[in-house]
Amino acid sequence: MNSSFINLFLIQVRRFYREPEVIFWVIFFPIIMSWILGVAFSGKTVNIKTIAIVSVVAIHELPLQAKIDKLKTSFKILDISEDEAIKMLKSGNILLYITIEDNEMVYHFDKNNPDANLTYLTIENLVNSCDAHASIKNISGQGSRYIDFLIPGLISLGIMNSCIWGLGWGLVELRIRKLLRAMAATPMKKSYFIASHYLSRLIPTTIETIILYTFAHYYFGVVVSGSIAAFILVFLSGNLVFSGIGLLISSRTDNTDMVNGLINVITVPLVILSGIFFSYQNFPDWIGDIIKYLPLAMLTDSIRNVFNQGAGVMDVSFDVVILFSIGLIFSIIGIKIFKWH
Amino acid sequence: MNTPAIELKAVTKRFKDITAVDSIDMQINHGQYVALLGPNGAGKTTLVEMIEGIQQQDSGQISVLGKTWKEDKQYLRKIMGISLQETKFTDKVTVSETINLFASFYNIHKNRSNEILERVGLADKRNSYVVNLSGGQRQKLAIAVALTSTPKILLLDEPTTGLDPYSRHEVWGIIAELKDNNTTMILTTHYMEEAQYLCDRIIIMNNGKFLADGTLNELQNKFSDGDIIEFTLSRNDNFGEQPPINHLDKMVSLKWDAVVAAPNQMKGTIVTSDSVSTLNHLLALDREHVIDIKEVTSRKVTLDDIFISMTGRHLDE
Repeated sequence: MNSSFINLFLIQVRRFYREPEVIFWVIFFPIIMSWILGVAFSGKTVNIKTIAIVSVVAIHELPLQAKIDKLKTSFKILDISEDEAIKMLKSGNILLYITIEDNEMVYHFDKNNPDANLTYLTIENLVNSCDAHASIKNISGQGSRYIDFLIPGLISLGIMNSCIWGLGWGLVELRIRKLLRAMAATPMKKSYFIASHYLSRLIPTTIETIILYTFAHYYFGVVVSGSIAAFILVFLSGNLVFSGIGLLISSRTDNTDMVNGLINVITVPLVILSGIFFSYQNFPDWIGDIIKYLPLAMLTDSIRNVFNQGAGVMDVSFDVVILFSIGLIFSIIGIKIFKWH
Repeated sequence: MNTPAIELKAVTKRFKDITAVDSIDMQINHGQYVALLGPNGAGKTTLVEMIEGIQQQDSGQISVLGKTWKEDKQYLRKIMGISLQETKFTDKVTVSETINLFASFYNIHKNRSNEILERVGLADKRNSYVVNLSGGQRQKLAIAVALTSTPKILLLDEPTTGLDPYSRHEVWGIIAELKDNNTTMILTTHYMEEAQYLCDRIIIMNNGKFLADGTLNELQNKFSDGDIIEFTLSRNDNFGEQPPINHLDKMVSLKWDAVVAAPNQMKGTIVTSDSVSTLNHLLALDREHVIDIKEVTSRKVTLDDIFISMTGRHLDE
């Protein structure tokens, strides 16, 4: 027995593990990415904002001095000229600077920048606080930290990239090498060919997901609070939907510039809009309503539900069915218009 | 069997305003080795790819072993062995893995790969990655892939283009050996030696049409009056622009060319119906010091001569 399906599948697997650079993209890149973002936003390091106060040494007024001393407990304060402060503001190194005019603190910042607004409010609160202020309880439990938000996003990003780039590029390369043509001229079952490509994508996506999760689990304490079966269903539907998009992209193209362009046109907006790194709830409501049906957003939201909100199979079934359906539709169109020669 | 192995009737294929294959009729018998000889762009690949079912003709009929592509795709795919022009197999896959993959498409056991690799002389490269093979070895692999299914019909599109002479001869040896198996083969090439060496029938193709079709001998007899004598002689004060040779025994035509590398010499090309008589006459003039011959060769008419006489171009242009 010499099964063509197994042979086709094994060829894909070999192509994958015999290319050393693949190891970097699949194993190290996701870890580095999650580590950098996780550390930057998760409070593993203390996040101190820098502000500038122009001519702080020249201040002799005692109440004002006391206020500034208070600020020093929570902010890194630079004593620089106003020109320098403006420069630093423009380059994004500080969000806000303060000048002293008539013994009053005057704040300079971009009112449209939410982060700067928040900094302003924090300062105001700090320097003018009455003694009986409300108490604050820090929420840092599993499932509610930034890292808990980020890891599902990185997992779905990995699935998308691996499927779209892997399948899209892989098939176009076979076409350019005229190997697709040589195979199509044999009695090879074309359904086996396509299926073997879909199935072989599961190998890098599974490895990447497991590595990313293991790292996040042991380093940041990320856990899956929902059902593993639900996660597997979501994972498979994500693989199908992005393999379908990859197939569709590759179906008529026979040059690498074209396939590069097509993939970027599709993946870049998806990554920006789908709330991988920051929630798409910041967009206006009507945009958010559209975004939540984008395949990458649906996949990410479903994984977050399983990881952080304890979702089970029933909770994700709607998303899974939609993702499977979109994947099937893309695949059918891709196969119909696929150019073998 | 009475049906020809391959039969084409008035087959035409156009690409925009170019007619790549122009109303071709062709019959190839079982076991025949046919060379499609012609320069680049003659329409050879298009013709072969239509027989392979990779391209579809705009009009006309193609049948292989009595079946058309519309009737029985699966059967035709099974009986054909194909080596396409410029196929690049996957780099980081070994030679035997590549053969196994193709063998599996025909439902053929893995053992076949050893046998086939022995046959094409790649047995010691079985575990090498394709990327590490030389040009000649890659071409042998392509032929091995075409032979994997023991095809009844073998179609090789320029199997030795770009190879060095040594590798080319090796590949020829492999193809020539297949002849015992009653395989029918079409080979496209623009090397006349390849057509002469491998094939019992030669079809010369240019601009989508067949210019000539027959055995090498038939073509030589049909398209030329015999042999070629080429000679160079030194320019002599005795003659001006033209050396004093007007007529020689059995000479059909005579053409003079300048010799670029030696301005004091001239080159003559004689077409003759009897090279012995013409040569005797020519050498007599040398003995009598009418002319001073530096060099003389006599040879059979080649396919290239025939091609030039028909099209005014060389085959490998």
